[in-house]
Amino acid sequence: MLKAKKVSKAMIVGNKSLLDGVVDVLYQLNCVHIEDFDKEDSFLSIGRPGKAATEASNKLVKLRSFSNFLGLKPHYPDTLANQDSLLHEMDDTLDELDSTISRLTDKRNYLDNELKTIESKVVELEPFSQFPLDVEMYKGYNSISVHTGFVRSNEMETDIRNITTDYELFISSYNKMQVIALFISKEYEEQIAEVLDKNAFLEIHIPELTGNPQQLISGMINRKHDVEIELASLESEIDTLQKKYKDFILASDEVLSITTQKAEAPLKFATSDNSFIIDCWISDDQFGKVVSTIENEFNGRIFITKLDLEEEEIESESIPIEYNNPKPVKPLETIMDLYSRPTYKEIDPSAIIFITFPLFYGIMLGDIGYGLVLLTLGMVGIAKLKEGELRSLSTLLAYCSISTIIFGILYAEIFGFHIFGHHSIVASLMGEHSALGVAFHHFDLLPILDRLHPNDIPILLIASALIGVVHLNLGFLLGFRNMAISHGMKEAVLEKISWIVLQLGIAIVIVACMGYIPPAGQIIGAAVAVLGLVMLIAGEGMGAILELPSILSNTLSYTRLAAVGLSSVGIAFAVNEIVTTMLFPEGGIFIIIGILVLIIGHTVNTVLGVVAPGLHALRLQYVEFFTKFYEGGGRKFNPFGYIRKYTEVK
Amino acid sequence: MVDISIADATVEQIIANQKGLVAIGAGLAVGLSGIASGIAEKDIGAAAVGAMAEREELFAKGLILTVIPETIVIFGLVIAILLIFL
Repeated sequence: MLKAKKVSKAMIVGNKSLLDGVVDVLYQLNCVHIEDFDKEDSFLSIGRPGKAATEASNKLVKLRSFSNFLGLKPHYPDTLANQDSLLHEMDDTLDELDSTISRLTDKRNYLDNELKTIESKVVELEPFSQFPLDVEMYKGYNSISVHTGFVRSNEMETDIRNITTDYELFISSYNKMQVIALFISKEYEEQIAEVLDKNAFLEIHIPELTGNPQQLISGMINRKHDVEIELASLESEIDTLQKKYKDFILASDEVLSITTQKAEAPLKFATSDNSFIIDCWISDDQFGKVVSTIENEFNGRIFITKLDLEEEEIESESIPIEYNNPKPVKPLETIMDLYSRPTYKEIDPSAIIFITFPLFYGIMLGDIGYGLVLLTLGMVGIAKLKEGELRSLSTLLAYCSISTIIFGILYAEIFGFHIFGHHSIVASLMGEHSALGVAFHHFDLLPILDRLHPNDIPILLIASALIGVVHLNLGFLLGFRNMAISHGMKEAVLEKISWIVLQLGIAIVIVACMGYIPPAGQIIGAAVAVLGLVMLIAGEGMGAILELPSILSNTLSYTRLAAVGLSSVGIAFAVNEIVTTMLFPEGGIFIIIGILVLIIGHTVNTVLGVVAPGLHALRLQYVEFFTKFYEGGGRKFNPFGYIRKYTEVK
Repeated sequence: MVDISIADATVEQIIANQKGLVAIGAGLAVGLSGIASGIAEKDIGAAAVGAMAEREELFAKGLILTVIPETIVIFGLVIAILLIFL
């Protein structure tokens, strides 16, 4: 906790003939982070990938294209496939799938194409369906030119008549435009071109068909229906295929991925003519296991040794980082990764935000009703999802909702209603004189803080600023620790402790001004603050003066703990007021409307209740807290291996 | 509109009047500082989303930069609450 897992650098050396065996063993151990071999300035060369690599990756490409075509999504299988029997039948099934899928693809492409052709022909023919001419009559004249297309207005006929009366013009309106078909002797071509130009003529080509356009169109529409039906049956065929081969494809994908990863592993190794060297990181708690496994498997023919870390290696970000947190804290690692992984020497604050994140969230939302809704959502998420970021976020939501319920009890709020005291919702629902009503009416220890009462709001505001002071100073202390380790005690004191001294000085001045200690305190406080300032300038230079106001803005920033909560309780209160004082007393239909308003209002507020407190709690960690001590930039510890999901080895 | 001339007003009327002015002041403090935060945040937010589109790891940095001007509205809010409740 609070530190990344301790890792050691190790070197594994052996004869090339044992390479495949070593890869297998390391893969199974799944706890060794292999470092890429850097060929620069080395007489060694990069290893060659195993023979299986090409074949397996070819198959993998094929499989992935199938799974793409079938629209497969990862899921949890009911039964695990046996790797050996899978490999045995893989080639045949792949061929079978290949031929089926290429047939289906061809068919689908053909049908899609046909559909498009029909649609475009219908679009082309439709404007001419109103003219009493067959399609073939628009073409094939020696002395007559035919112009078909759209014009802006139907006034062009007068223009044509000025040229000649020897013409035939069909005109009708279509989609707010005028469609024309003009038959005219070729000798007037130039004049006609001018007339058409003047009328913004847009030519359309008549498709190469024969027959009555209307009949043609209805025939095509019939064919389109047929094609659509065929396409639908094709889709259902694909669906059946998907169901049948889903498990096979996902399991084969896994087996082949493992094969390729193993076969390509030597690309990370350094090799000479007869031997190989693997540069790797192993966490200290696994080191013994790795050594003994390799000793047992190869009877000492493989050499494995721990390398000493050089000081500059510990300083740099080259050491891969594996979190070292107890299980409940794991979900917070997602939040850490979103920012940046810690480096090897610095504090890993996951365990701290495990407490502060839900705490801040609870202070802001603080409502038993919303807490229960979110707890249900979180639980559903945890039950449905087995792994991944969303599961972490669901777990986090559950933590936050528990804290929300606790603060809800302190504030005595349920969906913005009071549960205890004079305005108790229980008392007004159950009747003031019923046993429960009396109990809830007279129990007035809660709320400890009433967010609906003006007197308590300044208290909440001051309390949240004080929480901010504590949180910020925790950040400075952690920063002091990080700085002391990486840059030495003197700088740590000057850069981090100086802020604490400065705050202490300001605090003494404030307390003295309020009259709790003698007025001389003001001078002492000012002196302490100046001392802090001098330390700060000594540590960070004159630029530190520009940083000074940040201590005020950072502290005031925590008042959002009160403010965001007030906005949430404000919305809930407004919804409840509208319903209970304006809608319910009207009776009749207004009761139903009132219930609808309640449901919609509180749903909206629940959604806001996830987003707003979540983001603000996150921001207080990232912006106010982390900037005091955290640098991050660590690399992920990525063990060589694979956790099987769909297959097993017997 | 009730026309109140200060000379004829009772003490209660003057106090009520002042309460109204305080409320307007509080409203302006939150409203104007909110607009200011919005103006400041819009450019940063757009740039942050652009940066995230290129490199998703920049989410946290983008979030931090985007919310820095939010402090302005928090100041406004604190002033408003002080005006109304103290």
